[in-house]
Amino acid sequence: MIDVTFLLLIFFLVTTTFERAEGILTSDLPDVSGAQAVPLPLSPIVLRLTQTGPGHDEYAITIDGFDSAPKTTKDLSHFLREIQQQPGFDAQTPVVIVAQNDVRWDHIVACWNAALNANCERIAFGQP
Amino acid sequence: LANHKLFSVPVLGTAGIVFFGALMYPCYAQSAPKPAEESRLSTAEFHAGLKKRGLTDLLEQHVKDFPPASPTEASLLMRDVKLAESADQSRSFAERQAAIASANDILEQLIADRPQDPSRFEWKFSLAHSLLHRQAEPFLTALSYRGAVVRERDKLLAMTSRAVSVLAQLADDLRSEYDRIDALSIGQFEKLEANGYVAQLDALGPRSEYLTLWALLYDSLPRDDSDSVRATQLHDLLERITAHPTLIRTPHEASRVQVQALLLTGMTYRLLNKHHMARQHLERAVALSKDIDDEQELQRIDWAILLAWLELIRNEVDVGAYDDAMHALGKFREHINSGHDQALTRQLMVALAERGVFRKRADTAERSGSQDRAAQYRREAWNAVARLADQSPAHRDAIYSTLYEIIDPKTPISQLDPLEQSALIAGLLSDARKHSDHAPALLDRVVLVGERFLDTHAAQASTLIPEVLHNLGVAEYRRGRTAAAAQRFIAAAEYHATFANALQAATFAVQLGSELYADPALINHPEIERLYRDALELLLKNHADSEPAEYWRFYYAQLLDESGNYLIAARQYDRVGDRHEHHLVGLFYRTRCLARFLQQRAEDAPDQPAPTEELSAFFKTRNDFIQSARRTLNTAPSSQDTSALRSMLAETKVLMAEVQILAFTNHPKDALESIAGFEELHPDETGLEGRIWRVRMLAYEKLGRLEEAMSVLPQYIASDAANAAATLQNLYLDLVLDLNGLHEPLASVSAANRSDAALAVAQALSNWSERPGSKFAPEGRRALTLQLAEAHLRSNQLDRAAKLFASLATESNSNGIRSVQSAPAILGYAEALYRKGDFAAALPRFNQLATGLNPGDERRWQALLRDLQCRDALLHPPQGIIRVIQQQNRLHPKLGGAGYAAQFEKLLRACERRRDQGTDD
Repeated sequence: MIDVTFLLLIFFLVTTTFERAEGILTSDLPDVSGAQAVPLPLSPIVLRLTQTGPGHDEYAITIDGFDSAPKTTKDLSHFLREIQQQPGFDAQTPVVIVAQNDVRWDHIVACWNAALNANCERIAFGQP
Repeated sequence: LANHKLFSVPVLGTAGIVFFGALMYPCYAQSAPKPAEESRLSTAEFHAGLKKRGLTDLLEQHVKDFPPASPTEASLLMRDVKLAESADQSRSFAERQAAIASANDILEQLIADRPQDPSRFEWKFSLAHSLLHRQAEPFLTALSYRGAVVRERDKLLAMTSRAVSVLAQLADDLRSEYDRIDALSIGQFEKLEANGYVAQLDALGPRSEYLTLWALLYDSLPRDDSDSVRATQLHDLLERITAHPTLIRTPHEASRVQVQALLLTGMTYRLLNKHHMARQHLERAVALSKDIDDEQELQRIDWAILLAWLELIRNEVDVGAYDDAMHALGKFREHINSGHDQALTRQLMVALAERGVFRKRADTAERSGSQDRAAQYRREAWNAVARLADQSPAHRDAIYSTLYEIIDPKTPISQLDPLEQSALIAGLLSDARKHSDHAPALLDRVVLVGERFLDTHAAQASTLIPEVLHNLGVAEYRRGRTAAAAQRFIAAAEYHATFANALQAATFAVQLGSELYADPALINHPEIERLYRDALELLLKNHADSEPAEYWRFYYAQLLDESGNYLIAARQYDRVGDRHEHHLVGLFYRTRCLARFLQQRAEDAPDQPAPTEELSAFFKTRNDFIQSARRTLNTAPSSQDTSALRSMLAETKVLMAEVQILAFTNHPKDALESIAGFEELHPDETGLEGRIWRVRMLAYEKLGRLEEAMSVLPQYIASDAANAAATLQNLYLDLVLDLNGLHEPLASVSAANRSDAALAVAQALSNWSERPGSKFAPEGRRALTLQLAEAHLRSNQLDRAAKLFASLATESNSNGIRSVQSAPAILGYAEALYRKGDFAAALPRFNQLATGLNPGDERRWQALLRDLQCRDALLHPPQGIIRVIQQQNRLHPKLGGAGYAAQFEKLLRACERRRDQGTDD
């Protein structure tokens, strides 16, 4: 288990592209600019991964607010690109991956890669 | 003892044998009738009269004041006094034992003082007889019939040894006297023979020899097997019997001692482990007894027959012939059951014998490694006695008394069977009542044994459990542990189906529970209230029609009343009988409970229809009470309870008014009239002032007379500060109920008035929570401040609202409370800023909530809408706003509900216009 966690950590260190800081000295700007700094209250795309059985491929993907979702991580990139085409969504829309504790790490990594392949610029992990 | 060998008496003849029967009964000298005058003046007659009437104290005093001239006569008379005292059943066992010991000492002293007195032979015989058959009798009975270990073995041995010694002296003395008589001349001998002296000696010889035989046996019983004296005496006894074979051969009809002699012989053989010979003699004794037709004779030798049966059974047990022992036991039981006398003591004798057989059998099984069989035999052992005890409470008491007496105090508790433990508990309790000095230690032992019983025997002796619990309750109570006692009684009372004293246990539990509940030191102890309630419910459920239940129902209702269960309490008050001392008070309490229930119902479910049944019951009970109370006041206007009754009558008016202002009755005008009537009729009842103000304030509010309602607010708070919070809170909620949400402008003047009234109430509540001495919790104060801030916001007093909200939001943050918990304060603050037009300051606060709260929370949608409205007002690029609305529309198509959806749509259109017109930059 420790080994797996360690491998995951290494993987994320290598692959994660961290968002750059939005700016510096924002507190010294005038009021309007300060208000401007308040981020838009956009909702992220929340991908949920759950293990449905003991087998390697027994897992499920759901996306909050969407009735349908790809059955495997292979189809996920395409699905995310389609979402980005919908009003209110684009590559900047944050993607949050929420995986249950018993989900295999390679599925989580596959999700991450799928989001990267869909050109999602802001990817993060959320607590289950 | 060696002297016994030298003791020689004439060969026992038939004439001598007839004296044996007389041994069992006291002999009184017969004298010729005397003239009446002589009798009246005769001291002897006077003494006899006193003795006959049991006036032994008077007799003793008379003998001391007017001692007979002869010291011998004085001693004998004093001995008679002591003997009479020992026969007096009204005296305690210890007193009677002391009296007989004293009588024997007197006689012994007389023998020592007058060694040559011609009566010395009879005195010695009497002394030995008295020692064995009076002084040692209780111990010998215990040893012989119950097969128990005698507590005071040493005492018994001292008595029997003394008897053996006296009889040995008598034998020596008789021999010497015969030697002296043999040396007399014929003339002197004829003279002695003529006055009957020789005949007396001849008669005394066989009597003393027979008594000696029993004395030797009795003296052997308390001795250990290792005691050499025991074996010597028993062999001596056998030799004596062998030397006088007529004892066991002469038919009983002629000798009247054959059965007893066979018993004696059989017992001796058994003690010498000659079981075959023992069986032979004991069976003969039993068989012979069956041939005796003379009822009187059978009664006279009953003791010997019983003992012969017991010895026969014991003899079989000694050799391990348990089946034979059980067979003999069966025959013994038949004998007991077929007789006229089936007294409990006889039944118990059989039961104890059976117990003895099973116990020995269990020991044998245990030694052979068969633990299961041993356990089964042990169960059979105690069940043998338990079956008899179960027949009736009287049986149980008597059996417990016997068992308690024969339990060796040194026996570990674990070795006592369940029945013995139960008997030990009952006996210790009884002793604790008698001996107050030792009571604490005895009661502690009761608790110890009782707990051990419950730990180890609960499963196999379930019938004894309630009784043990009951006795534990008594012990705990007497040790001052009232709560523990009540719990034990409750546990005992649970066995109401089988336990005869269940009602008593339940009543005790209730009484103790009541005592604890009323104890000022135990107020606010929920466990005490629960205990009291459990006890009451047990009593009322299982013994509903009993007298104690009739009495305690009122108090049960009162307990429910005090704990806020008004409807159940009202039902219980309704069942309090007409003859109950608190019937009238119960009627009032029922009225009050129903009123409180209706109030509670109106507050908890204001939208529900009126509970008509309870409403009718309230009106009817109130009327019944008023009529009954007036009747009582008319018939006994000066009784001490009238003051309380008048107060209750006054309160019924207030109760009526309180019911009239409830949501589902809604008769505020009638309520005001009721109040006016109360004030007119009962001007002195100032204790109800707070409730009067409350009714008045709420009635005004219901009538829309808000100014008047607010004008009485201060009086109300002043008169009922302790209880004002709930009323004010309800009033506040009532006032804001029909107003629009915080984020909408007020629709009408009426709404504005209500809003202002709500603000006044909110302010009063806030002041109330911060009054000096208030023990209001910080969380409660915070909630009231929030409410006040909202009231300000609703009344459009934005600066004050913003200030209050800001203080709460800051407090939340500094306390580390998460934004979700402080959301109302942040939202209120942001809303106040927004309404003031300070969109830039409002935006980050709305944004905090819009991004932090869950979409299921309505406040998230309020904050999101305001966030976007602030951006629009600040002329932020419309694309961003459009994008957010579109996204939310995709993810949450309902957009927080129709109201929000419409506003989002409106904002979307405005932003699209702005985008299309390019007016944003």
